[in-house]
Amino acid sequence: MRSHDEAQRALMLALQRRLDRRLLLRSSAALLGGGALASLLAACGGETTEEGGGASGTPATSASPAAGGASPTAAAQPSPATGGQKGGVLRVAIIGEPPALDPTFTTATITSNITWHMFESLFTRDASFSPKPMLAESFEFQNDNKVLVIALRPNIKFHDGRPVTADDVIASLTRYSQLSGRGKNFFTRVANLDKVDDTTVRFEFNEPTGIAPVFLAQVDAMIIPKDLAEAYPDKELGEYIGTGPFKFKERLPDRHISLVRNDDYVPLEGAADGYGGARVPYFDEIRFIPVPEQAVRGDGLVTDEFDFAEQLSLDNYDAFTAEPDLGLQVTLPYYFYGAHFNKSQESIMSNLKLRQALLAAVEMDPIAKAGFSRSEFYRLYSSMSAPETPWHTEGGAEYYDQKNPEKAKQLLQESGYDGRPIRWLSTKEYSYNYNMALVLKQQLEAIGAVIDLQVMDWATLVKTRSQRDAWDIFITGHESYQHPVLQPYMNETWPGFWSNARRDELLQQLMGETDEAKIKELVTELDKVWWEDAAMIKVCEGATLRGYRTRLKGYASLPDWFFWNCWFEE
Amino acid sequence: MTAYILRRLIMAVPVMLIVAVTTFLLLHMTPGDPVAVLLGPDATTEQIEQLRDQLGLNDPVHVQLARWFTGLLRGDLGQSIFLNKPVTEAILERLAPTLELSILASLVAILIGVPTGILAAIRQGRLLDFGSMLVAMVGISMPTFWLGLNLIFIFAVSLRWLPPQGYQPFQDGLWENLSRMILPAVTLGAGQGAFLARMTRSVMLDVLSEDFVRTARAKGLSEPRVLLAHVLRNGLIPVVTVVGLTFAILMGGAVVTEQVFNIPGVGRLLIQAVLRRDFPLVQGIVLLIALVYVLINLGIDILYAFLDPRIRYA
Repeated sequence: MRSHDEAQRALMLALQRRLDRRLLLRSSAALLGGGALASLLAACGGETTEEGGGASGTPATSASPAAGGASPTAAAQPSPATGGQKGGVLRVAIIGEPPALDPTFTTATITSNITWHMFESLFTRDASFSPKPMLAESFEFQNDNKVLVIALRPNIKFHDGRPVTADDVIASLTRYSQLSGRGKNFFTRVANLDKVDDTTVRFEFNEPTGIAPVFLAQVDAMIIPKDLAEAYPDKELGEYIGTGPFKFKERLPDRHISLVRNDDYVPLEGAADGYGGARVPYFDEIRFIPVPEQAVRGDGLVTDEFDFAEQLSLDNYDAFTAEPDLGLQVTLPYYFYGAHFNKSQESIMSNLKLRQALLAAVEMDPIAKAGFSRSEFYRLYSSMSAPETPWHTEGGAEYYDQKNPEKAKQLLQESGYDGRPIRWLSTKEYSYNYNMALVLKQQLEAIGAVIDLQVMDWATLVKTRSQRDAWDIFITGHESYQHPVLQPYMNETWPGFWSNARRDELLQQLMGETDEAKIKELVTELDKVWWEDAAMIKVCEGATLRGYRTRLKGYASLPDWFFWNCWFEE
Repeated sequence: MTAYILRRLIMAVPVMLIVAVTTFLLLHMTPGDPVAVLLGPDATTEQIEQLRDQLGLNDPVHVQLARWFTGLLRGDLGQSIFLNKPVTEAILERLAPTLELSILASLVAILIGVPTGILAAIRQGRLLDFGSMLVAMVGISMPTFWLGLNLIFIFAVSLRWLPPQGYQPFQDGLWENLSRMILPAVTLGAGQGAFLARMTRSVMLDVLSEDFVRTARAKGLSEPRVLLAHVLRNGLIPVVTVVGLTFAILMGGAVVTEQVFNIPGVGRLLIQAVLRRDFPLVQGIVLLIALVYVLINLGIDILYAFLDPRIRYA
């Protein structure tokens, strides 16, 4: 890896047009020598299969261009009414070909980021990441949150001109209940989903379900025409008809996915608010171009081949800031990263004392620095939710960043740990993953744990982590701006296999609640249980770096990118 | 000749069968799950298992092999798991960029390699010979992706003469197409050009020391005529073999170059398919590359007969 990093550093300097020939020669020699092919394979790595965001160690905070400073992400929200111009083709370099253009079918982030230009749900998320009506005009909970009545906005049309009706909503959500993991989970609480009239639907729940809008604000709960939903009940969509500000034009795998402006789109009144509020399409066309190589995304952005590029190398941050026509976004909030323990009986990590021992040992800052290189590119806090969300708490904060080797050694002894190697799955496809694992390993070995670090490609890791008897620890990332109930590790079958009775109780109550103060109490308790049970070693929230040509106006610096309300300034 | 070609084609069948079965078994021994990749990081185990069942990935390997093989005999390479379309269609869509790249890279290799080799042979032991062979040695040793990255940052990022990435079909304009192909073609062709230069030089030196060359010179032929009509014609046969193989190697070598230059060809498809464990697609592409090798070898043998009248196939 080192030789590859040196080459990247040389490229960065070249970008600054201050190429030090000796460094280039040295890095060339390094590449020619050790592990050149390994570096290439790592570089060719499956960013396409992207988990979390920060591939190859990309940290950052939502940002202003050459300033190089980090500004809070949600701050730069533009008002779409302010003088956008229609026209132009926006070229967006994305990390790879999406597995499908159907967010109900796949949970891949790249899929939802592209497709929410076409598909919309009943709700979406506002600037504080809370649900906000989108296709819904209004909603009302009745009968102690056991009934939810949702009225649709009048006059919304699908891309083929047909109006959106209650039948479409019911068919779409039925598909969602069968195909999406979250949908299945949500619908275990739904006793009935009925049509009240052509533009009103009514949910009847088995138990209080105040959380419903949170589920219905996700992209996988999208609304499509009834016939389409019924034609693809259990497989990925073959046609793309939604209600969004852009319409599907063509998909040429590995070449581009092209969307065009929906001229009949009627935006909500008022200003934009997070992902919600008014959405105005300005571009004639948006072209999403899969570019798996991180270096190529950066080069293409600098040379004006792309107008926007995601997941750029953090190592090139200074070089990018030196480019006069580039804007940068150091995205925070973004994902939090940490090491999941295999808590199933098949693993040594099912031993709570052992998990607590490892947790007590670690010091977070050096690990975060190894993963995300500079302190501007990560944040240290204990909660599973970012400070910008309503779910951020101090619950269990005393277990975070304990750096207490003495306590750790004692707990290790109490756990009866016999020095058996702890199998740690790691990948170099995401450099943060490997780099963080190395520092963690060092810290844990200092208290006497034996770590067997197994490095593999991402596809192998994903397969291996699903086998309960094949591993003990692996690192991954999760959205820190997502409702805690929706975190995948809350599901007992998700690798990590976390089951906890108190957690289940809390989830159950959270699912029912609509009262904000009560929700805050419950998520505080949930954070606490998460730490007390040492479900994982949460390390830090790491940023991702995005760049855009400065003629792109109206870009909202939010964790998930979108291009409605954006235009080109001539 | 026709009988010979037919016989060779029939002999190719067992070769292809061995390639097919070996690829299948190797792939299925590799850990990794295409469905987990397809459904994304937050997919639950039930979802993954359900789709694996649907796709038949939970069947025993011999059942999967038999199914794939039956399809293969009917000319059906199966369905790509990730792209959700027939493998044949997925490959055909990407064939144009790879073919164009391989042809252009071969041209670069020939244009660099053959003249350099000839000149070096004529000037044997002189500065030109020494210098060109040194450069060729460096060229052979240089990793393709490293050369590619350097060309990108010199000609695309620093000088801004050429675009750093991508592919445009001919329909979008000849220059649009070629400007994006120059750097990849040079990247891919340079190494083979260097190899070709060394090969041509050594063959030319062999032929130059033959008796008939001395005779040709003795009877008063001009030096260019000796070189072109006698030496080159006789030296060409091994060179043709190398050029043919070069093309086949380039088809395979395009894997790396296409990734570095973001060209949506068969090579990049192969890398992506491996990373996604898209078994049917990997099998299809490996079979295609094997087929290209077999056909090119056959083509070279046929070409021999035209270049050397003494060679006749019964």
